[in-house]
Amino acid sequence: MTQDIDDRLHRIAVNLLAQTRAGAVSWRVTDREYAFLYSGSRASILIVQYTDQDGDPAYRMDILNQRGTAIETLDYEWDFDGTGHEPAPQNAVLKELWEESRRNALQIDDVLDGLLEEIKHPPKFSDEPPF
Amino acid sequence: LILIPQLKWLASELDIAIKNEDADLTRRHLDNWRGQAAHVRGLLLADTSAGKKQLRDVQESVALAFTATTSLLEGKRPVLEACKQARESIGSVCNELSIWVAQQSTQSGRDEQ
Repeated sequence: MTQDIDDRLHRIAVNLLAQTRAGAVSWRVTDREYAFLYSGSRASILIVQYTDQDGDPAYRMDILNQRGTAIETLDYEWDFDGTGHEPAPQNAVLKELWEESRRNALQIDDVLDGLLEEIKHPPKFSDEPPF
Repeated sequence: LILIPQLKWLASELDIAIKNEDADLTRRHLDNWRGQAAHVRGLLLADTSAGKKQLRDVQESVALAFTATTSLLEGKRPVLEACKQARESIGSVCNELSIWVAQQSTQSGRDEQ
């Protein structure tokens, strides 16, 4: 049962990443600096960057129900394979989803394109007062 | 429809708590918003005249109220900064729902004629 839920959470993350890259869904900033939100009409998805016990960045995806309660979580994990710790399959997608959600919510592309445009064609400001 | 004024009252109480920099009361009002707005969202879901955007915006306000609560608990920032996004979302949901109520009233007035 838990494996089934984890599989579905993983599929949700993969699909959401693809839709975010395609520009088909929108993310927004939240009152937590490193957390970004996607909302549907029945539930929301919160992607969070946090610091793990070793002080390294880790990522978590929370599913929030109609009341805003986190009902399921897909977390950054490390699997022990007998010789050492390997990153769990979901780690890569969680990291990419956080990066893409941040890019989308903060409209980073628009800001960079605008800057580049202004640098290439600097607006001319007159030193004369406008009167 | 009678729940909408309740939501607006809650939003104004939230504003007062934020203005007074009362983090505990702000958290309580945000939590109340989550409960009340979830109830309204359920009623909107059953109403065919309510659009998907309305449902999504109410859901978003509930989720943002949750993240603001966490932000307030961390206690790193002033109350207003710690719940700015949630407050904006709650304000726009109140406006949207007020417009929707007005439209519903006009429509039912026409239907009665």
